[in-house]
Amino acid sequence: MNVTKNEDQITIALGGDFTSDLLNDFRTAVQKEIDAGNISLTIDFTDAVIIDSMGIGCLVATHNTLKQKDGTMQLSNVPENLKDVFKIMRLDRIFPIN
Amino acid sequence: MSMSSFIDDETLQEYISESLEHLADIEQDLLTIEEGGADIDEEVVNRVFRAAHSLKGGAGFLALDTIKELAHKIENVLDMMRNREIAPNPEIINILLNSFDKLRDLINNSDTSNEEDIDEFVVALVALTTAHLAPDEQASVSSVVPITKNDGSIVFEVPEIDLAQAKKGAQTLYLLEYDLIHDVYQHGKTPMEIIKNVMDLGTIIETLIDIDRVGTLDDAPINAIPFYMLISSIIEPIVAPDFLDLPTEKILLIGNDGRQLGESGQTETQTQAAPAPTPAPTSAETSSEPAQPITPEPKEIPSPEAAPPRTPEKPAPTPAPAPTPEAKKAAPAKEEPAKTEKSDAPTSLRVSVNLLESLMTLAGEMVLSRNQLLQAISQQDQHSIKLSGQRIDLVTSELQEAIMMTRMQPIGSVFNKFPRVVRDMSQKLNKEINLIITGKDVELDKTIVEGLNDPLTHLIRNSADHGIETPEIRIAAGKPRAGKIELKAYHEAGQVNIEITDDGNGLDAERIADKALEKGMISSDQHKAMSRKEKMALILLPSLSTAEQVTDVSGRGVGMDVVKSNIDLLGGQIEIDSEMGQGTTIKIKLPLTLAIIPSLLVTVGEERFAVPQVNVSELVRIGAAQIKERIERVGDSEVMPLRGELIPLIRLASVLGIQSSLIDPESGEEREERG
Repeated sequence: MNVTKNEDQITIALGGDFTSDLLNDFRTAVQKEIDAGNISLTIDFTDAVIIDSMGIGCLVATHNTLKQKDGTMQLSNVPENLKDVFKIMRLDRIFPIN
Repeated sequence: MSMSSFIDDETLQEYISESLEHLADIEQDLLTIEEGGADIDEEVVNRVFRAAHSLKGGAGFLALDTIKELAHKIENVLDMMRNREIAPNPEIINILLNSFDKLRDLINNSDTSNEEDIDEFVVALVALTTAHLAPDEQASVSSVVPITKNDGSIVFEVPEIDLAQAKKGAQTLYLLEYDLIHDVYQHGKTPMEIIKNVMDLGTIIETLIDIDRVGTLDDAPINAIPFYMLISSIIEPIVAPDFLDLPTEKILLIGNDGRQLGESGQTETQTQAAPAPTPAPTSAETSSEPAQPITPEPKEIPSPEAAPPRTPEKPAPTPAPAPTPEAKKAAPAKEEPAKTEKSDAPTSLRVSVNLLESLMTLAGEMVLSRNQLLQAISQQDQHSIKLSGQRIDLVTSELQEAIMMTRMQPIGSVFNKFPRVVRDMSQKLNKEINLIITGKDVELDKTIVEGLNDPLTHLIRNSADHGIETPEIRIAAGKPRAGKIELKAYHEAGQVNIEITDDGNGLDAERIADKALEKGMISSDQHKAMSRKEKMALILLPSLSTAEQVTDVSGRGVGMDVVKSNIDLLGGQIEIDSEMGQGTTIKIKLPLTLAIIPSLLVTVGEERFAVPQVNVSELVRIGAAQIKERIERVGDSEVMPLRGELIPLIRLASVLGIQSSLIDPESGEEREERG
């Protein structure tokens, strides 16, 4: 999990598939940013090929958490196949996917 | 359980050959539909619809997405046609014909079909459906239907038009309630796999993740991610749980009004019973149970007439006008997949069971005779050997005949494509042409039928292009406005004849001959000496075309000679007869089969020759002792008197320039024959 900061924008790079193995690291990273008051997060999907149910649940939960605090979440560098999945699940209506 | 994992080559092959079979009949049916115009023969439209439908269904299972999409768009047009929302006209039929052509193309190249671009066809087809949408359906583009569960909760809203389109063509609407944790994650699957599987089985109309149920990071660990999918599919409710890998209670049937069908809790048992209305009631009729007939039906499809008096305990849940169309639609929809498509389209692979059985019998006979023969040989029983020999002889001939029968194919498989050819050409050339086909049932050897395709196509095109005149010219010449081409096949003297006759302007024998002279193909002496028929036959020579204009249809001068060489290859003969201004008749004579040519074997020296038996009129055997009596010499040549006539004898060896030899009957040694 690689977290970079550019101006006010925090980018969390997954660095691999978004599956249950990644879950704890991801939660920790997100929680750390939120605790630090950073509520505008970008999740970088470079190198992700697969997302499992836990990954999707985690994304939705992160979105819900940030929204509660008036923050935003967006996805970046999403590979085409994952983008298709997100679109079919209509997740693109919930948060921006780039 | 993903369907795609089951796919092997055999399934694909089966799909391809089945699809091509469906497509073979479609052209003819579409032309029939075109002829009928607004007066639609539902049976024919339904047949085409079902063909498109099963193409789509199969493509879905095999993940041939491009084929599926094209078939689906075609199906939509056909559906509107049978609902009389589109009246067929040549333009629409053109689009359908072209789309089916493309479909055939895609199926023939199924492995690369998903990369093919079908936009051109899809756009044309979609334009048709939207342009002809009924006014109320056009209105429905903007209105939405809430998808409502029986507990009254609305899952999401779907544009009415999407729902109507998806429901068309024997599709069932399902609302799937996957829990991404319990039904997906705990089954070792990813959401991607689930979606892929559903897309293979049907069409996804709308989906939703219930994000509120997921909660936030602060809540307890996520234990449920409800994921709703509204899909349309041809799969039957009874097999849906297996295919979708989802418990029955999470698969809800949705009606046209967006409401869940059936009562909550009982939905599954009812829907499972629905597709199989078993004859159970008949057996129960004898027992006196008055309440029996009422129970199942009204709950599933509430009918406004029956509801008030019969089921006072529960009023129909939907407003009165809605259920009627639904009831009408639901009934045929369930029957359709069960109906088998007409299967009289003969293909090379189909052999009638009768024939197969007689083959089996003959093979059995053969084995028996062989056993008898083996036994007779071991016992040196000359009489039995002779008998079994005769038996085997008989059986072998019959066996050969039966096997030949399996190769016979009706010529209709070639003839059937010509109505389309003539139609397309008459449109292009602004002519009116009636094609009359007779003798489709005449059977020929498979290889001959296949080989006839090109030459016949060319001849038909020639007749339409150069033979038949435009309506104006025809009327001026006092002929009926529409030209006529007759294609006829019939048996004659152990051969098959094919005749192509048109009532066009005929061939100008003189002009053909002049042209041949001009091109130096004949000398001016020949030109003068030739008969009309001989001059006509010149058209079969290479690079002689008398067409004034080279059209994109024919007339490039590479036609008739190709036709002739093709027919020659098939062992056939071609004759042309034509009357200026009256029309042309082309007659092709073909052997029934090429596979077997019964021949007489002759040996000269080291060489062996086969003379086809058709060319042998009589065999006369002259024993060595009789040679002197029976063969006479007249001058230099040998003759043989036979039934009062002198038959000249020709020695094969000297004709062919072979040194003949003979075997001395006493010593058995071979030596050169004396002169």
